Amino acid sequence: MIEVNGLTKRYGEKFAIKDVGFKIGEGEIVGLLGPNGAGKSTTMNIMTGYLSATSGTVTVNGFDIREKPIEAKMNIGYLPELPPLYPDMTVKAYLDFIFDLKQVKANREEHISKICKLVKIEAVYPRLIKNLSKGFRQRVGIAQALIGTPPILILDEPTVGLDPKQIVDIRDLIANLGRRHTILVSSHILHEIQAVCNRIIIINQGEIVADGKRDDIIRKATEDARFTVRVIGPRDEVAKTLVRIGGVDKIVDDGVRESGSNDFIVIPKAKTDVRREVFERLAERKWPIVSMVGSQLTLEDVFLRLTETDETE
Amino acid sequence: MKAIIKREFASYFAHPVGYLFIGVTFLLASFSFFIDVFLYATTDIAPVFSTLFSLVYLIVPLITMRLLSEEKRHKTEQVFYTSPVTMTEVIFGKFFGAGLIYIAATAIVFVHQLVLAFYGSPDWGLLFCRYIGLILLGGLLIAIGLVVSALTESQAVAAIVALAISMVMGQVDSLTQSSSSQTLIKITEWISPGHHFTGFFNGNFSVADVFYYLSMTGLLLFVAVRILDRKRWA
Repeated sequence: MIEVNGLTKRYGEKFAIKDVGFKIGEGEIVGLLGPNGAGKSTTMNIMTGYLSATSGTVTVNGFDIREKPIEAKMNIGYLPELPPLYPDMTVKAYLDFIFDLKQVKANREEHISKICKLVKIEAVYPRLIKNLSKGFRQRVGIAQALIGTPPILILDEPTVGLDPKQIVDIRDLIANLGRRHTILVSSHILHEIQAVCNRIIIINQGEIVADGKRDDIIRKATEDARFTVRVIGPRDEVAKTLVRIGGVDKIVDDGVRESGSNDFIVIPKAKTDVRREVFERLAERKWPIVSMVGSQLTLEDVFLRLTETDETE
Repeated sequence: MKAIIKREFASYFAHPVGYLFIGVTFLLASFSFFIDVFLYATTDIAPVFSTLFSLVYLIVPLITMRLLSEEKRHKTEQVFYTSPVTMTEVIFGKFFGAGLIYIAATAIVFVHQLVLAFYGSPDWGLLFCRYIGLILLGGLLIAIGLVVSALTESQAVAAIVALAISMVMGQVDSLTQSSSSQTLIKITEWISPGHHFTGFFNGNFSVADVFYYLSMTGLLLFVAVRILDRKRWA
């Protein structure tokens, strides 16, 4: 549905983004996560045609944003970081304007009314935009992105500057929109992304440093897949059995934490998952595994680790 | 493009600037009509056109100053860049939106002519010829303002620079009248919008004058489109 390849934007000698690439399939809700200034908005601005890339391509539903900008933009609804609202217009006049600008063929009244209901702005429909609260402005911004029912929504920091209640409301709204749209949503707040997205792309200093499902990112970011296994069985024999497993690099005796059992830290060789084999070997010897616990990082740890590394360089 | 024209035209009435532009034009044109035409019992409203000719240089920057600079300041320009419209449609939409308010204001001359029609037989052909000249002049001034507005976020800067350029263009031929160089005089006359307006004012509809206005306006609109397109590459 969206294909970004080798996207680079350079301002003089400085790279805003460098060789950014990813694919987003139909129905995915993808979070673009990164600290402030990481290149999230630049990426989104290029994807929506607001900026041109120094190099690289963006294809939206088969249309290249540079070669076929009109067709590509027909497929995108975009909410920039600062919603592009005219303060001197009423919500009604503004949405009418966007409807005409996007040359939507649907029944105007029905289409706009459906969107207003979905984003809950019926109460402010006749009011001037300049008199709306930040939360309602954000909703009007989302409403304009939804006009024309584009299959893809790109939302840049949709919850920035909102109070906790409004954040929850917008988050629920995005989850709801995810049933009918493919969504790319950016944020510098991890919990925002975790709450609504089923895939996360982490960007730092203009480069993608991680891309995948939450647990995959955590697993990949963990330096090794070490884990602690608690076994009921003779200590030395268990240790010998474990160390003989092909993918195991090292075994560390971690003592007795629970009476009748022994704890061992199993350190596998790089990029090797030995959990299944450990289970099978110990089961063959009828030594029950009481627990097997990975040295799990949280997504927050991973995010900090991925984004801090470069900052200290 | 229709959506942009509609939004642009309506926006003038959401600000005092639209009322001010129409109000000042009506007031000064009508004052000139009363003093120079009505009291002299003549059916030629040439003095009203003379007044409007001088006035539009001064007040067209009022309606062009916010055309693109305000969009840049509020970041609403993103709507145009990310919607399925071309920059040419945006510029033409803005141009015609401002053009409509200009027509609405200067159309007061038809009311004046109608008043004269009660007392005599005014020359409608001459009126239309002059009015076409006034519209073409307005189009050129709007295009100048549009280009300047595309270059800055400040409405005040846009207004002052557009005014300065319009004034220089308006006076350029008179500045070289005393020059001994016929070539220089010819060049400045060709550049001057006022020189080309003279034909319309005298009732001489000239294709060369129409070509001058349309080509200059077209060139400026093309420049404005290029400025917007270039922004993507900044």
